[in-house]
Amino acid sequence: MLKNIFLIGGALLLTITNVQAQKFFTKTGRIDFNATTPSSPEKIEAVNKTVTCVLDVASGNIQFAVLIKGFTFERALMQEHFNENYLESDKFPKAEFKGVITNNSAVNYTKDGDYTVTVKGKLTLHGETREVESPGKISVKGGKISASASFTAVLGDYKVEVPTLVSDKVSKTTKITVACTLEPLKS
Amino acid sequence: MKNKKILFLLLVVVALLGAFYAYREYNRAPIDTAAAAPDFALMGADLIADFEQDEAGATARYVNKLISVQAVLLDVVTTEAATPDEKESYTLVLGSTEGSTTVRCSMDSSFALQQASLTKGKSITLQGICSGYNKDELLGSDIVLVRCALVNN
Repeated sequence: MLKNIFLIGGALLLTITNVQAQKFFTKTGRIDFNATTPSSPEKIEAVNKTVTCVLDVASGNIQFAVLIKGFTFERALMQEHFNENYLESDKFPKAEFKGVITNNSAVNYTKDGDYTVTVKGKLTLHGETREVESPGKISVKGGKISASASFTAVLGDYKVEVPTLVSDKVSKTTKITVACTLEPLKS
Repeated sequence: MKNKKILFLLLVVVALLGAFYAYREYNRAPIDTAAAAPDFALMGADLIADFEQDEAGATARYVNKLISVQAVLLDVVTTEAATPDEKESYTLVLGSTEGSTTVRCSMDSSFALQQASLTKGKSITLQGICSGYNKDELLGSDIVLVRCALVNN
């Protein structure tokens, strides 16, 4: 009887250790960008569905990377201005975030559920790197992990200049929403 | 007096033409990736080799261009809709089973998976806008195409 308990306990511990050691990832994450103001004639928003994300569930380290030219707008002109005048994507083709879930120990990655987390790290955009801290959510369901967060970035902090002519039409702060469904990384 | 009238009319015509041009430009839709003639049409293996051998040169040549690429379909990734108003979105992964670099094609929102009758392992042709190259030793590298459409399949 005692032997069986030890065997089951050992197997359980091994499973938990294995899950904890795993990295989870996606290459089809999503970032929504919104710089609409009340005086904007229409929504200034874009979406990128080719976001790469890697989460190390043991350490809570999390990384995002995105190609700026992968953001799509409804209007071609808006997309061209976004790439050429604002984010200068030829010069700065990628944006990335490297950070950590500061309360990672509060997340039980082996148990289905929703967990409120805080993510802290460095966001590099338009060649400028700034500290970012944001609340987020980790959802665990059937072996998959969903990670989401929403925060605002001040365009001026990243040296993204909004021309005076449209300064009241384009928000000086942009809302960035990240959503990724992650799968175990098989090594 | 007559000259002034002609000048005034000319100015009105120029202003109207300018306004029409600005209106058209402002409302210009993104390129129809299914119907437009591609800037480059090539095999997946050649596109991958170009990026692997000379990333800077391939970036200058292909990024922001409409690329038609033919390669073996390795995987179909479905991403759940973010809001109730949206549909699921799809990414078709093209490449070969030998190499680790793939061509990842984020499909246009008009793409309907059920109507596409895709078979993994078969060669297909897609057109999309190249948004760049993600070099990644951990996850494998990718050439990313967005707003992709199936052509001639």
